[in-house]
Amino acid sequence: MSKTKMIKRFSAVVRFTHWMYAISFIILAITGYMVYGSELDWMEPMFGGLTGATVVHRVAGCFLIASIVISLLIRPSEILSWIRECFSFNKNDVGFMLTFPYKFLGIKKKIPPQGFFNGGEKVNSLIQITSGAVLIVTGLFMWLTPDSAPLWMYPLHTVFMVIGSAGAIGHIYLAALNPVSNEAIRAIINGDISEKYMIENHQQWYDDVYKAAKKKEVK
Amino acid sequence: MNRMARLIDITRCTACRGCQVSCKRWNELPGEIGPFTGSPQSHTDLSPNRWTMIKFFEEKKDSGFEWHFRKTTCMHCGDPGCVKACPNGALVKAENGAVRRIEEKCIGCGYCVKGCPFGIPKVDQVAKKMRKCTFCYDRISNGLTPACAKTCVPRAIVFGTWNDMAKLADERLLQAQKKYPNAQIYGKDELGGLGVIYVLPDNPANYDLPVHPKLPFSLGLWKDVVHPAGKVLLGAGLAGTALAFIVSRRNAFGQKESAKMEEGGHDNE
Repeated sequence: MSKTKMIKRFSAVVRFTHWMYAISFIILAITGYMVYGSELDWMEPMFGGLTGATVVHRVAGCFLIASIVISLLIRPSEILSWIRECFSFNKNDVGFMLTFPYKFLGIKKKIPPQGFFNGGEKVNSLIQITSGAVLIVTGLFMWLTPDSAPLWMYPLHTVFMVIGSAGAIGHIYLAALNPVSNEAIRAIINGDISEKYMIENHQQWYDDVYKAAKKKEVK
Repeated sequence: MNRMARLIDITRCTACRGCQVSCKRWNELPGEIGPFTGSPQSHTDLSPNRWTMIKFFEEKKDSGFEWHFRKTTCMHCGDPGCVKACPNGALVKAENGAVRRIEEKCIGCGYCVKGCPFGIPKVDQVAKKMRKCTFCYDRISNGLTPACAKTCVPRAIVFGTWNDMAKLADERLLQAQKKYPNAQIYGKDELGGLGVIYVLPDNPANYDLPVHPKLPFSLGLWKDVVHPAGKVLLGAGLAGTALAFIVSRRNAFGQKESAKMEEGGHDNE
């Protein structure tokens, strides 16, 4: 393996809080599903029965909220620029989404130049940001004001659990199992990716960085 | 099996509270001494260990003072809100009309409390279980009458099939109307027909009953739409992803073969 130039992508804080969020999310999904459906009821003894699972659900919820707070406190600029970029969905992102079905099935396609986050990552982020926000708000209401929480919070919590979980299933598959896109997982574990991957998959980001470096040199 | 019901004729109740005692006895519920309520009424409300009680209502009317006693208990609704609200399938509607609770499945989450328009379910916060009237399910499924109906001296509580009780309510109403011109029946049309049909001397609101009990829209939305649709969606998502995994592997292998020929591949394996 030849020496490849590695580009830093995610800071340690962001990586840590990502996994903190991920683990909390999975625990929340499992313990929540026990109340919602019966398919995971066999796991109940692991959490001390269903009653115990509802306690674990609340504790994991605290960790999930904490992961957001920590990332916002230590790396506010990184988080805010992520959110800003997710809400600026442009033509190239649409172009990416058009090739997405092929990518999902493991077929490599040429993609229009992508920024720091590609169109798919933006869609995934938007799904998780929205469902996360709704789940946290409705969940806190249901937990802290059980007597006065409006009744529609319960179906809302369920709807966004389904949306968030379906999104998470796709996210995990694309990151860990899909042979085309799983190179990107290095970025959230070690924090960096190869320059080659950067050029291939984030042309716009590469150009931005390159131009910025050039400008500095000129000055 | 026929749907069973109780007729509760408030115009006949004498507030002897024999039903309260026999309910405790049959269901082996401990007695609870509460604070003075300001009237001869025994307690303010139902509790996890008090599944029925007589509530007292004083009315000052042009014709004079009236004192009425309403036996408060689970209505065993035709369209029970608690069953819809229960996230864990711990509440079921039995064929004979009883709304039953499955002990092992109940975790005392209290969702049923919010789903009930009559404020019947009470959660035992220590045991983490909801408790309410069982319609004496053990008795009625063995051909006996519920403990409260059995003990009622003035026959203010009568137990029988729903149709018989509905008919009896009509007869009782005619009798009651002689004394109370405003008398009416409550429970025949409400929420799919209640398992308790009241004969009331006056407007239901006078006796702490919702005039038009309705289940919140979000409750039906949750149970009938969101719940099943969510399961299908999650299952389809999982299955689709698993299928995509297999397809993507096959495609990637094909790609690797052709990539080899073009020198270099997309990964370093």
